[in-house]
Amino acid sequence: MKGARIDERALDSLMPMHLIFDGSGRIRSAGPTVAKMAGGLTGRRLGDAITFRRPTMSGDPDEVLEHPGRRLMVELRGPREDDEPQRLRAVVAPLPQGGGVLNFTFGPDLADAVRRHDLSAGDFSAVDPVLEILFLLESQSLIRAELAALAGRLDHARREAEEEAATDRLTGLRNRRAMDQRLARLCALREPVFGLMQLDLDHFKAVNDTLGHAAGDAVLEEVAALLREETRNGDFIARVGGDEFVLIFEEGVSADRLGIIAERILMRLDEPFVYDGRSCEVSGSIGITLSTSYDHPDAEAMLADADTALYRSKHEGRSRFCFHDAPAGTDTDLQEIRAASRLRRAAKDTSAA
Amino acid sequence: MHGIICKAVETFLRVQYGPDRWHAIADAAGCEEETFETVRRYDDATMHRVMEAASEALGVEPSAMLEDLGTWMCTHPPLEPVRRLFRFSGHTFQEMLFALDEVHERAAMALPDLDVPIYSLIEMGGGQYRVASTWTTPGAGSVLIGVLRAMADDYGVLAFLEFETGAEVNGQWAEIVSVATLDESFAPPREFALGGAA
Repeated sequence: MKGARIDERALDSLMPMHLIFDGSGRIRSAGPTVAKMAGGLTGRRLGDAITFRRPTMSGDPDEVLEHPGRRLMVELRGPREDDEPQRLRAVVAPLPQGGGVLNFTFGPDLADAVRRHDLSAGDFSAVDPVLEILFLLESQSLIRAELAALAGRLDHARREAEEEAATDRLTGLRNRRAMDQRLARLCALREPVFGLMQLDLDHFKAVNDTLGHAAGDAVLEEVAALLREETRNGDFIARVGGDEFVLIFEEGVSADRLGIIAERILMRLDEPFVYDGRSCEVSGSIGITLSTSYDHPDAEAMLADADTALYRSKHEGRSRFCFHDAPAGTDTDLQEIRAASRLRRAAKDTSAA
Repeated sequence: MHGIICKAVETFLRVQYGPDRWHAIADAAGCEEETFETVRRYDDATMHRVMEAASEALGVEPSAMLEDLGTWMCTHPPLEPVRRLFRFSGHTFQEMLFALDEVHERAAMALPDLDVPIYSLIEMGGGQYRVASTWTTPGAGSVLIGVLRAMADDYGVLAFLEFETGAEVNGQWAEIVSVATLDESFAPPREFALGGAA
């Protein structure tokens, strides 16, 4: 090649990230961007300013010049001990006067490096594609942020839709769909322990027929409210049909507890509702079954058994509860609960009269 | 039209005029939902109705509103990255003007189906330029005026911007904007560090 001589300023603009070293391994000059990243390079020994990682070299100029044209992985060190080294890629070429020129570029930590050294467009060659890469990185981060926000909105909408799909509009209780799901999930457990209570309102049709649907709706809302009051937060309450409710209890499940709750609900239902100045007389009948009564609890069977128990309550005169297959020993206690509460009620009625 | 463009218009109206005005505008424009999604596509007519409804409700000419939108995109602090994206396209205001030819491809680099206008620069000499734009809907010229106004300020350049003409050509909207830069270095450009991507 016939001596392509180049002015140093021209070299700075073509290759702002270059570094020239002489045959003795001293740095003679550095391009403006390299100088910005590690000040005071001129005069330092090449091996002090640059750590040659791959291939591993001490920084001896002859050794470095044995790899012209190859990609070298290096670290640029500032003059101070605590200067963090900057990872770079480099390529080396020999110079006719001895020594050589190294040209650098950034690796995958480009964005970090640009931020850390506070580089601007003027620090790169006018044709360096690094600007396009930074543009892409930045636009991608904008889009990522927008997608993350979108995912959040969709998730919120999905939860709302699920909530709505599982809710009975009139009462705000869960609906049959939610009840089916809950039962299926519970039955799939290895040893499910829960109680299932089915409640039917008595005389509800009469309210609808004589006072109208608005009165019926008001009664259903009242019933929903009292069911919430008489149960605990973790208990599950669904309206599964016109005047049919299903309650599922997972905490502290025992025949005694469910009997007490059932009795409280029945007492509350016995109190007349007042709608538009008129009294609506409804009561309830309840059938209860416990998952522990089954070797392999099954949603369909349990619902059918609760229903059978419910009809027994209706046949025995309404406003009462029955167990499917009551566990031995509990029945007497429950009868006592029932008897005691009836007495209390009778006493209250008498005193009120 | 890409949802990200619709979202930009929505956010501009929401932030500048308040959520209540935005709801009224979206209602008047007959939008099904009051929030545009950035990953969906919308009918051009939808955005057209939004702009008309906004212009009516706010008593601002559509072209003036689009200019404001362009400036707002480059100066609204949470949208700082947009200004940075423009700065990436050139070291000087003139280089940025030269890069307008690439705006469409640059946008496609980021989002392949982002249908921003196609701009092409005509050099008239003596710091005078004309920018021709082609888009599926009117407004590319007005938005550009707003953007260039903000960016001229950012580069510290005094620029006169004027909408010249617009017409429908083969189902596309062609518009011409004139740009006159008086002094390319009337103030030092605002500091611009490249590092910003999180």
